Amino acid sequence: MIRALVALRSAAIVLLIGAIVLGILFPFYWAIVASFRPETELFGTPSLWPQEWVTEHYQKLFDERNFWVPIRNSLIVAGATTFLCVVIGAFCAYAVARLQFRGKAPILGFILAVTMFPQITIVSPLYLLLRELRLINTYPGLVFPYLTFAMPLTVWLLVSFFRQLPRELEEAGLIDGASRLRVFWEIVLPLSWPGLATTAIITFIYCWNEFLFALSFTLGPERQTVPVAIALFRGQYQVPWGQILAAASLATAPAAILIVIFQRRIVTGLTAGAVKG
Amino acid sequence: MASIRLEKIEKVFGKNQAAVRSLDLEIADGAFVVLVGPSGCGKSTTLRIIAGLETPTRGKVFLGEQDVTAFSPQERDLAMVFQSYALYPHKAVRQNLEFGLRMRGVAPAVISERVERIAKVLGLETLLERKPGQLSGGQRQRVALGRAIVREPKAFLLDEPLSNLDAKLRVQTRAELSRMHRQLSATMVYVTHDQEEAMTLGDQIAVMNQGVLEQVAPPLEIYRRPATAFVAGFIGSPTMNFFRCTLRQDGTPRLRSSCFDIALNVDASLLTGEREVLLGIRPQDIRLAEGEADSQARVDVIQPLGNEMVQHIKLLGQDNGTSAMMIVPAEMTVQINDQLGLHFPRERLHLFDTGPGRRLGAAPR
Amino acid sequence: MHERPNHSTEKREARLAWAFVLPALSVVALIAIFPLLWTFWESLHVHDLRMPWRGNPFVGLENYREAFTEPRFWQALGHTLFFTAISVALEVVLGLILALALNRAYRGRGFVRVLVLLPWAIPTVVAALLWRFIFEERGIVNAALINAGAMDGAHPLVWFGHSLLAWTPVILADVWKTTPFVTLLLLAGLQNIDSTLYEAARMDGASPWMQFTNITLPLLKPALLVVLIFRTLDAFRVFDLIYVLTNGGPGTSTEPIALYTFTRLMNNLRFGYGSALSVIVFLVTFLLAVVYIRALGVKLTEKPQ
Ligand SMILES: Nc1ncnc2c1ncn2[C@@H]1O[C@H](COP(=O)(O)OP(=O)(O)OP(=O)(O)O)[C@@H](O)[C@H]1O
Ligand SMILES: [Mg+2]
Repeated sequence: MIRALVALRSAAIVLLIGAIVLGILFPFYWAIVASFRPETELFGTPSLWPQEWVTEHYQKLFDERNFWVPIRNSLIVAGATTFLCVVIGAFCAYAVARLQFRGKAPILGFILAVTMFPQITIVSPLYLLLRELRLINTYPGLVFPYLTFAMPLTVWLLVSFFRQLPRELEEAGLIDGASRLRVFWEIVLPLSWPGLATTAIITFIYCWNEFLFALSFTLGPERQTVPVAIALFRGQYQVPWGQILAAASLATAPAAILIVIFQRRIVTGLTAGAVKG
Repeated sequence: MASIRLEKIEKVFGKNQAAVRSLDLEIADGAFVVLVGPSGCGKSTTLRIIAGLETPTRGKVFLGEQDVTAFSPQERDLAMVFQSYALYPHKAVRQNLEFGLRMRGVAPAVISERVERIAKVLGLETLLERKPGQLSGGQRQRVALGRAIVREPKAFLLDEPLSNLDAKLRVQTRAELSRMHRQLSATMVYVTHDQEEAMTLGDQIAVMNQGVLEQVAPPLEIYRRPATAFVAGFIGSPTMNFFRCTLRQDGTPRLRSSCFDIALNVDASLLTGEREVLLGIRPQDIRLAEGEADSQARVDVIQPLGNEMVQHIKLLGQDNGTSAMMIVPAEMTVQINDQLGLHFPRERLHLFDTGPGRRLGAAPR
Repeated sequence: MHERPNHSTEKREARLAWAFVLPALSVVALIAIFPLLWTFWESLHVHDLRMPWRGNPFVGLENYREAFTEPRFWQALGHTLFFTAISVALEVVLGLILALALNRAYRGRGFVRVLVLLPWAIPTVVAALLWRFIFEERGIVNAALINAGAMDGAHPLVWFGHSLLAWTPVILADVWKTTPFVTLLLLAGLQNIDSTLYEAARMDGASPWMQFTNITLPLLKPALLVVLIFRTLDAFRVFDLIYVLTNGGPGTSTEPIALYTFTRLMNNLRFGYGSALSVIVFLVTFLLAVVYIRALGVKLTEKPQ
């Protein structure tokens, strides 16, 4: 009786997990498959498996819409932001995580507060500022605004990584005669590359996905990032769903690849700051 | 090498968590001092204050004649061995050994010469190119020691360096440490919570309790003349027996409890009227009475240890009796519930006051 | 050998710390805090990029008065609260169920973890498009409903044309995108719970439900709180999802406050008024954030290790 109940429960759980997997996967599957369907087969009574596979949407995407441009823009903006954040943020995070000074708690609180506040609240002054500096529709004009959310995020993640390093290693370094800076450079940094890499990946993903700033501070296709470009796809007579879905599939690729490779680290990184408090 | 002096050191963590209270300690050049005490008593904190890893809330630290209280660890030129060894995991053994010398700007030729020499002394020659992760616990421990020695520092600070080793290796390494201390004639401060380790290693033992330094003395004196009831109870195994009793003077001073009433031959001038005291006697010091017994006891538990035997006994008295332990030769034939007459050799009795537990009177010799 | 340093080690360490912290702090101050103050200032002025001849006269709280008397503002605020309440509630409940289901050893754990991360990692814009595609008039949802006989094939439902039904894809998409993340955080919280507690409880004869209410829930409370507040603040600033999925439509019936503000700013170019709206959004979020820092931030920062 009890054994039957237990079996029933694990069967229910297996079913539940199966349902989750399907629920998560289906929209992806549907979009990717659709991006290979001919335009005529996109709607109506669609089959789960396309009758005919075509690559015309992808071809049009690159030939007619120059989708390379938003991809390049996104890579540059997200890459530059991530680089700046990790380089500058690592120092800040290390100080907050390890050095003794007054004002540590307020700084961390401040950083936390900045990650929380809505981007929309600074769109107007940033727009006026960037216009003043003639940075609208430029790469720096996106990278600087991106720092507002990416820098606190990076610092926050790195603080929890640095706190996990055994303190004694740094103390051993100090006693061995290294300065704090030297300890940071020769002991802490080489040991925290997994943390730095994970942070970089998470920051990159956030930047890659950003929409509001990119929408507000670009004017035309030559500087639009991938999300903006996709969101603004227009056809002459109707919504070009085939191309939209092709672009969407491509926009998903970098994140998907990074996640497949680094999933364990990303999970640790994302959850460390939030839960272990 | 240098002497170390702590002057009225206090360390308060947070608002009011005192880890070290008004601690004075003088460590002579070349001495081997063991800081011992129960967990959380402030040993590590004291050691870290010497190292410069913690800044004392009050008080001063001297190295030789120099006040180094405001110096960073880097400027103190001490070496420390951590309980976890704290080897740099991303550096090979050779780089671990070299690091301290490199940081102090020693010439490369000198560095490699010294590293080779130390590696040979510690039997690490074949391990030099390995990462710490590829070493056994014992080997890591040797590298940690090597990293300290190769620097030729002013003094060595060791925080429970052996507690991650198995029992056999620990005994072996202890002997080696003693030998090394003699050869280097280096000042060493060694932290442990293991009183046996303290007794075997130190030429001076400093016993701490709740942030207070209770006594500093050579091992034998600590054992024979514990300055406080805490020291008496902490040093020695099994732990000392304590009995609350009344000390009174009518003619000769007498010590009375519910279980015994014995005459003392201590200096009577110390005693004024009647007072509560704590009587301590080590399990090793209780004898079986040959003539008249000081107290009667019943045997509760017998634990044979090979060449001797630990007996848990109950001193018989008005109430339920008082528990105690004694050690007797293994040959003694005794059974549970046997009744024994006990003798307390007067020169082995320790008297403490009941409040702070300070030692009373002239010492038994 | 050494000269006596003029400053104690503590002071030197503090100086180094400030040197480490300052670049990042000044960047954040320059591009986040300074603009924020600017927004406050703007909100007290008229600043209309389409009518530059009007200049930037100071108008006090006039912009706020306008906001508070405009029905569309209240509507947008209501939409935002509605969306936040429904989606966060759904996400936390679903996330908890999923986390409990996933919190056991099973084959393919790694695979499920990758899956769970995927919706979180893709751009919200893309998620919105996937769901828009699914809910299109002739899309898969309607096709399935027609097949099941629940809908008349000749008159398929226009999800995005109905002021209440349009919320369905919006909330579904948000739940799909963020529940996995909630699940991850709760799963980490669950894995921090000492499993011997459950063994002890089972020895005491506690039923699974009692174990859940007596061990899991109390010990998961911190993680739940974090998730709740993170998600609340996040949902409150919803923009991308609705911009792409419904663009606030039909009409303005799914317009959240962030989208309304954006429209006033970037479409109407009314920077003074838009800034007043921004300030209101900020104040509401700030209130929530204060609660968050009170509840958790202090503990996070005071922990020594
Ligand atoms: N950084 C710190 N912050 C707050 N309290 C501390 C800190 N370091 C130590 N303490 C406290 O100070 C007291 C003494 O700690 P210390 O590490 O010196 O003990 P110990 O004698 O080395 O103990 P053990 O044998 O367990 O290592 C303890 O109560 C400890 O909790
Ligand atoms: Mg310790």
